[in-house]
Amino acid sequence: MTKILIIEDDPYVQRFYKRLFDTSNHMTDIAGGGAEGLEKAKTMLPDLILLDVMMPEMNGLEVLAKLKADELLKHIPVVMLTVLSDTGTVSEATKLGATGFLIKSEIDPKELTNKVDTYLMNKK
Amino acid sequence: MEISKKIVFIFSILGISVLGIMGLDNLLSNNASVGVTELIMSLLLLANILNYVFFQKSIRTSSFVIVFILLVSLIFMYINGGIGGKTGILWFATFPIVATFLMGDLLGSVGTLFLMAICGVLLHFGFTVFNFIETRQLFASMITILLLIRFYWKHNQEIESKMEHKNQQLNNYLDLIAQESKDGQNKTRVLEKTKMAMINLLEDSRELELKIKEERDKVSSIIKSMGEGLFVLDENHKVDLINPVAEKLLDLTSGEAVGKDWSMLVQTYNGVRPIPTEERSTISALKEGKVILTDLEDNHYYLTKSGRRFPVTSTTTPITKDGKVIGAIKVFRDATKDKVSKEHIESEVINRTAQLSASINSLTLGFIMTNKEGVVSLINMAAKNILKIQSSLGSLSDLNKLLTINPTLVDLVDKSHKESKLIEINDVVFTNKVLHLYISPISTNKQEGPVDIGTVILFEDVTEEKIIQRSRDEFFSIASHELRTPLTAIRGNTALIQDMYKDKLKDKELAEMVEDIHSSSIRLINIVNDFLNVSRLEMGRMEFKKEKVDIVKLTSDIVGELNQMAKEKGLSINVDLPKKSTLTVLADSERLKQVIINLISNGIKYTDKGSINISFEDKGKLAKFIISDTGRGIASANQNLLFHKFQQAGSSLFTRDTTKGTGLGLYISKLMVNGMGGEIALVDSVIDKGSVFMFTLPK
Repeated sequence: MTKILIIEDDPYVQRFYKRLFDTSNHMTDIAGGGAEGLEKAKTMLPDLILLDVMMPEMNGLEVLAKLKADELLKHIPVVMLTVLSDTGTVSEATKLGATGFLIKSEIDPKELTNKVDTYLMNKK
Repeated sequence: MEISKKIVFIFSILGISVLGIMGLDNLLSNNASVGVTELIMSLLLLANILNYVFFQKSIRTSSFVIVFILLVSLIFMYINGGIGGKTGILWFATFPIVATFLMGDLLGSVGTLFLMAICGVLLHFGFTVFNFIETRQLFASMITILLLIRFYWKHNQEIESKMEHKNQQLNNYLDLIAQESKDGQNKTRVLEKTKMAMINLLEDSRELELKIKEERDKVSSIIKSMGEGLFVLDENHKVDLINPVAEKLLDLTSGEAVGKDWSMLVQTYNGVRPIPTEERSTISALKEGKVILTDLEDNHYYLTKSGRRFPVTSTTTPITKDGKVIGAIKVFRDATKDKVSKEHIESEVINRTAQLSASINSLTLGFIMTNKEGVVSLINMAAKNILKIQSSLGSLSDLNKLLTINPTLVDLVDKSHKESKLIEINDVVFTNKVLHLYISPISTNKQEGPVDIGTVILFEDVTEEKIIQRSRDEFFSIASHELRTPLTAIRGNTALIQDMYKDKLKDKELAEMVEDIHSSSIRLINIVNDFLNVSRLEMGRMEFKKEKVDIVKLTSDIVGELNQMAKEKGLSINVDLPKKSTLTVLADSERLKQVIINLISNGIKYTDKGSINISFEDKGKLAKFIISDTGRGIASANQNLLFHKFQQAGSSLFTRDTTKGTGLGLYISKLMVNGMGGEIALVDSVIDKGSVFMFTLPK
């Protein structure tokens, strides 16, 4: 069982992701914001983190930077969840060490799980 | 004196003295009659000599006279028994012979000798034979006659020779006259020439006179017909000439004016003040020899004797001859109309100025006008409010200190003047305001070209607009994001239901409902994506990568994905591969994909039967993508609406088919292609035949 941490502020989207990954043999946990996400990552030590870019208070890029700055967490692959496909965010996130990107609204649930599985496979 | 004349002279003296002594002797010897005769002879000889000496009579003539006198005296002496009888006569007879000889008349002297001899023989014979004193007197008379005859003959000869001499002289004179007449011919020729020259001169002068007359007529007709009043004054300020206009304006006739002092005819005024005679312009022109101009500003008036008063403008010109002023010409006009129109213009200017400054002050735009030295000449209320200043500004550099612009305002003003064009500067930050500036040079069009007279600086407070603009731009992007998050949940969940809970969707109605929700959410997501893209493209927030993309391969991949959609409509998509099978462009592959998808989907969407054909062209620095369809085509009236926001091909301006999409596809494609450095266009479109689109991209 792989552990996936979903950091996403929208409760409906949170629940959708949880439902999706739960039904596909993953163990998931949810954090509603950046700070909570960082806390949960430290205790849970997930195999993969799905991180939303657009969040209040602390945005995805800041969270990513903190994750990568943490010795304990920096090896965990982080896949950015975004509705924006603007290259500025993508290139910055790549620089900070993001493993991949998923454009939330454009990706079919099945596609999403397939991609996540690919990232997990690559990690192993 | 010639030697012959000297001898005649000596003989004459001798004769005089002998005759004188003998005369005296006879007188003393009581032979009074002989003595007196001899003395008279002597005196006559003396008179002859004196005559020669004092009156320059010919010595020859004198000599004849002497000879004649001597002979006569001899005859008288002989008759009266003087001087020693017969030998005395012979002795005395030698006198005329010698005298004649000595005078060069040899023949004469021989003749005389011969005559004397005959006379002497006859006398001797007569005295001897007849011894009769009376006979002696007869012979003496005969001899006298003979001598006279001879003298006469001699005299004739002399006359002839004289005549010959005179003839000769006359001939000479005739020759001279002939010569003279020859000279005369020459002289005549010269004279003829001179005459011709004189005639020419006369003709020339006639012509000149005609010309002068013509000129004078011209001048006088100009003077008469000119619209201005004109009069000429002599050096004594008296009127010499006056033209009809002046007569009319001044209520004078030429007869009344000519010869009168000008200052007595018309009174001049400066406004209401009469101008003293010595200050009048005509007097000054005469005195100083200067041209004097009087214009409207001088405010001069004429008051005629009939009491008419009118404003005048004039020119007074002195007439000079050899540097001396000999008169003056004054040309003047009734300036009533000019005065009225000037006053009209002035009041108009005042009105306009008032209107203009009211307009300027009521502008919401800041308005500052400077002269060409940069000194502020006008600043309106709005400008003071925007710049938050109480009083006026001094100069451009003061304004420059308030506003931070690079290059400086002064430089920009210079630039606008040099290029004679309006300069616009956006987004000038002033405290917490954003201003929009316009710098415009002001110039007037003079004959010699435009002349800069200053600058107008307009500025607009665009702070509000900027805020509104920003919030409008942000609205799209925020709204799009906010919309997509819940859409993601809808789409995801419906997809999950369809995938994972199929067994629970046995109810067909329910399954259909879930499917409708799902596809609607996808459509909504697409719309939102389009909006977001437009918003970002318009704000210039979309970045384009420059990657090497094989447009042929990319197209083939897209065609692979869209083939199913085409097949469902019974259409085929044909890709005409280029020779090399590859064509690399410099573009952002994701955006390029979007453009190609958009164009192919449009083709499928608007084509009911036939095919969609794609081809490529290598245009050197550019690659060309061409897509044609056999669809319904676009009416030419609507063609120019393509590539605009919310336009759907084939639709009218007011009807929309929302099931077909947002009408943003081609607009987004255009912005994207342009963003990647290419062009997109409709090549051709025919109703019911199809359309051809193309785009280019740099290689």
